[in-house]
Amino acid sequence: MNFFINEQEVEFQPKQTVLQAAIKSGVYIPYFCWHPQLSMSGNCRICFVEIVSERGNIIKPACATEITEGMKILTNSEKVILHRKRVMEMLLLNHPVDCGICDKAGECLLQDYHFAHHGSPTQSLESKAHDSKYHNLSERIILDNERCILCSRCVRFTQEISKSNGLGIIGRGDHSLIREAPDNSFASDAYSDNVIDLCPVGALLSKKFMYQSRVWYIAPTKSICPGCSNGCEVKIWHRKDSWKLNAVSTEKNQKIERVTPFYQNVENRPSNLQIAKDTSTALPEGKSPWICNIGRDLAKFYDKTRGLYPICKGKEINFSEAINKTIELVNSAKSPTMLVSNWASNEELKLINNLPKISKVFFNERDCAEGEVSSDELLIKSDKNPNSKGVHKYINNIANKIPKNCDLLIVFSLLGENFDFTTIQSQLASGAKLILFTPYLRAENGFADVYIPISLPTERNGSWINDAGEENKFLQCFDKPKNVYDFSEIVINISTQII
Amino acid sequence: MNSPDKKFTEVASDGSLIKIANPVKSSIIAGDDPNKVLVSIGPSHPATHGTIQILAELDGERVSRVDVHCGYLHRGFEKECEDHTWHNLMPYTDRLNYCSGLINNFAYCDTVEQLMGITITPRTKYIRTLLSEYSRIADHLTCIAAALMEVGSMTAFLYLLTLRDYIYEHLANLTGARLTYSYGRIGGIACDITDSWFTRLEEILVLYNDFVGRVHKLMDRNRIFIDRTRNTGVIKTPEAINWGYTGPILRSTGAPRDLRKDSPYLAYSELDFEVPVGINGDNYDRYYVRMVEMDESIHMIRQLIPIINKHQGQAINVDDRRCTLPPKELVYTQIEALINHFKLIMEGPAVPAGEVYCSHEGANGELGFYAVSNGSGNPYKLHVRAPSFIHMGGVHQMLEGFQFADIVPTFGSINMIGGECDR
Repeated sequence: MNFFINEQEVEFQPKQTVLQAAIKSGVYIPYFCWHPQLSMSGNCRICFVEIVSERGNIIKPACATEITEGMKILTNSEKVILHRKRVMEMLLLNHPVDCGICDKAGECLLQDYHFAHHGSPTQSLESKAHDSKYHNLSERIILDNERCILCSRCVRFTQEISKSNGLGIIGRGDHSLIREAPDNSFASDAYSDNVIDLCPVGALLSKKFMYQSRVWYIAPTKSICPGCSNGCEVKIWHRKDSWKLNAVSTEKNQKIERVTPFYQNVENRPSNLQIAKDTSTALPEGKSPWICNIGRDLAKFYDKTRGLYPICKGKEINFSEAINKTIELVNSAKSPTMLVSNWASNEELKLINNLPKISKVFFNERDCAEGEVSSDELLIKSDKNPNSKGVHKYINNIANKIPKNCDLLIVFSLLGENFDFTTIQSQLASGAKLILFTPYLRAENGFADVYIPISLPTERNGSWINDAGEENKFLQCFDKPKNVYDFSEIVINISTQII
Repeated sequence: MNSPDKKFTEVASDGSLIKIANPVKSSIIAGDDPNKVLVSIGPSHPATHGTIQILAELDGERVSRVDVHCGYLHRGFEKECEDHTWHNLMPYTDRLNYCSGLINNFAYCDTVEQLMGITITPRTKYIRTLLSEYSRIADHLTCIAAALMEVGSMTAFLYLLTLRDYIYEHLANLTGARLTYSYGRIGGIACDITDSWFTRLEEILVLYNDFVGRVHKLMDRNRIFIDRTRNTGVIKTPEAINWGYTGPILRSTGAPRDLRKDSPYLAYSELDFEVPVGINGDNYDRYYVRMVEMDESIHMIRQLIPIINKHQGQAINVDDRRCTLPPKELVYTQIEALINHFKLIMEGPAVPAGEVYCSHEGANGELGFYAVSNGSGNPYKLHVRAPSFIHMGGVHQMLEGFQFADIVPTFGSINMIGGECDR
């Protein structure tokens, strides 16, 4: 079945709308309220197209118009351009003069559409209507009602995707406001932060990201959320190389500024923008454009004080001494055992598997925390670690418990939360030695016979296997601290010298 | 000393050594010929005014071979432009031929405007034409003053530079800078010209007649000057065209080639002016062509002043939000203007995808910009055809066979500007 967009013949499926078919065939139609994953609302009116008809052409919103055989659509006619201009004029009528202080500025759809489709000065002589500017929707999200264009994307998200029904619109007409449900269900919505990305303007803002960085100072790197075994692909946003700070607040150079889902829809961006050309993030079949709030907070897994030098029994030593000491301990032990983190990358696991003499024990880094969702149908899985499948795939003969006769325990832990020094010590024979590989500075490091700091997953490339058995890559976001090495480098160093 | 540089030789199939061009080192090597002396002038030498090295092989007092190296200034103009928005790179264009920055500004603006399909307002068109000619005068004054000083004429030098300084101060009054104006804007100019500026312009035009008249009297029929410059640094029309020469150097050989006449841009088609040419292509012709060109420029400025006044009160920037910044008072009070301002500053003017080559008659010759846009706010590629850089390719033609002492006056008459040789 065929119809015509701008006199070009285009195929369509039954029940398809003009907007869906246009996106599929690469024709640009702007839209605010519509979203590929949400139901149709049809309130923003920016997606107007002209339908050619013998009884006179009519203007209809593309998102709400089902295609009929042979239908003729114009997306760039004079009439359509005029209507878009009028719609933009209306949407900006009460919009505050906020770009300078708005976190959304630079990636705001309202800015893009105004520049592309409107651009003229206001004709209004009325003063702007004012509203609440800092309304707390939850502990995580703040709402600026003056910026809101009432597209209702966020409301539909809580109804259709997260199913918390946490948001709604109160009031009528000019007095309409987005508000949280009185039962506080929005606060407990495990997916609430997605409405920040969904918001086409700067109305819904992350409290954590608020005023932290302008978006043009930061760039995304593809990574994987380690929060559970679903392994959602995410973008970790960090300071651009060209905007690295040299003097004040240099810690910002190493900071995870925000985390967003890797996949996004960019087909409604005007085609001259860089973002519209980035097709690498277009949503493939079977992937999710959402992530949960744990993923948004993944920085807290890594954001702890780092160990920066090797320690031997409480004394600082240099790296090569520490490696020699490690080899000496392994060679003199009768049955050395290694706790293998299920946060380790597949590349590290393959190397660990080749280590001779040392028996490997599965080490579960993280359990479900209090108040955390254990599992649900949407994304969250009950295994709260990214690579348990990888450990079982790449390490042969992995044990679940530390053997009784263990006289040297090598701990390789990337999170360090579940590693409890006193419990571990009670499981060991007296006089057993301890070698510790972890990125963080902890009191236990001093008790270990050798402690060597290692890099974080955000400081190197690697891959993890998720719950569904897919191997996904994460990429390096930051440089390692000086004198800190990847665990894989250390394993390569040791493995050849074990007798 | 006599052995060929091994690194730059290749063994051919028959076993003989082939010399291959060394991209860095000169092909002239000291000691190649025991009867000749190699003299290196520059790259830091007061008489080269510009970081350039001239390696001259001397046979007695005669220059037998010359190798000119102009790669000592590297700012990466073209590459740097790719990383700046179409507007932000305006100050870089000032620094190409910094003796006539306004011509560079306007040539660049014209290039981008052609890509965007913009027609500038009449007032801006005439102002740009006037300022281009005014800059040409300043540029020629600089060149002639330096060239005369190099043959010992300090008086003429001071007369001309005094006049040039009046012009620089006058331009600073309009644009805020003596040299690096950044006065062009895509779709217009930075600010309008006031009546008082024109009053001073009239004064300077009178001063021009006075000062340049004195130089004419001092130099034109001066026996010492003519002996020193006639038949030195000669280049003939065919060679000049083969080496890509344009501007006063080409015209001094007798070829009346001038983009203002051949492919008129701005308001040149509406103006009455002549293209002066020389007869011999030597240093004297280059001096005289520039002197007459300045007179022509003055003639054009006198025609332009009433036309600009006729367009008094007209807009200077086109009404096109793709390139023109909204008025500041609206940016602070209206979201519509604020967004336009934000998009223009953060993402750059919306220049549609495409490519264009546009050239203006710079003070030294054809100044061309080749711009490629992929539709974003930065140029995908911006190439500049800078006359000085092209001239440096054939400058040895004008030095070889003449006296060693002619190098400096000849080089002065070429008016090499280091900023344009930047690659």
